[in-house]
Amino acid sequence: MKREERYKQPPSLERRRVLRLAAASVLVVGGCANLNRTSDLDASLQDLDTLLAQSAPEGAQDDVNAIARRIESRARDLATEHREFVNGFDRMLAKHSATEAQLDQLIEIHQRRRTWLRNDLLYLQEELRASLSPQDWAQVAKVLNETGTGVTVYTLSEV
Amino acid sequence: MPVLVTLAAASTLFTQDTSGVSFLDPKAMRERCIDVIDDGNVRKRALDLTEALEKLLGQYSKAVVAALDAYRAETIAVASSATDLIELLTALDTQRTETLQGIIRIRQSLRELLTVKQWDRLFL
Repeated sequence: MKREERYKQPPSLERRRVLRLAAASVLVVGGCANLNRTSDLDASLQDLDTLLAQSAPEGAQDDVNAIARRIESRARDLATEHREFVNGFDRMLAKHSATEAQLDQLIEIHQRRRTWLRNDLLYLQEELRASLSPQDWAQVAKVLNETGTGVTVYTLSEV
Repeated sequence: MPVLVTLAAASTLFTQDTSGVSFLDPKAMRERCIDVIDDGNVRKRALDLTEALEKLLGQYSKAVVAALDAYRAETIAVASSATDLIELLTALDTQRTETLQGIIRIRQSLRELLTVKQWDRLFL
């Protein structure tokens, strides 16, 4: 189905469910940022799984759910990559015998992988936007912006 | 928007490993320098380096906030493509690399300043 045709039809995905799914995705990703809150992460994952299970296995819901899962998976990869790099880099910095060349190499490998994962995440986001009507996307963006702003401020306040 | 929080989390530079002194926590490092290095020229230079580290990480944090603000503005105002957003975040990638290299340079200066014994007292 062409995107223009899809937009002319009533939303195939119930709006409230889209918003909840989007909010749950934010929580899942937010949970990845903090190692000490695995229980929050588990709860968010459970919430997301419940929402996914409630979705009918056909049409746009399938598309959106599949993309949401891929976003979640890629977001986890990026969060893990970041966490492992920061901890590894930090440990190597404190090690007197570590050389500049070793540190440079660690950075180079990480930056390459990080950029690839980050870019892929942005392409998936674009795919998600294309799967929703502009109205649904606007609603999702509004909710995520509010939630995301709060989490971003919290995350950066830790620096 | 769905990936905003991930971008924020994956941009920060602080460690959650609190078992020792960290180059990513200049304030704690400063305190530790005062504790373990005898008062004198070496300590003063070590404190200068922690100050430089703090400044470097502070500049990077500001760049992260600015980049994420720009990202939010871009995704709200217009239907930006992934390519547009990648372009927008590329400047932050460059600053991140420069910051990490700056940390290595400061570490090298500290390494040349301290004896192995002083280094071990600071980090072990």
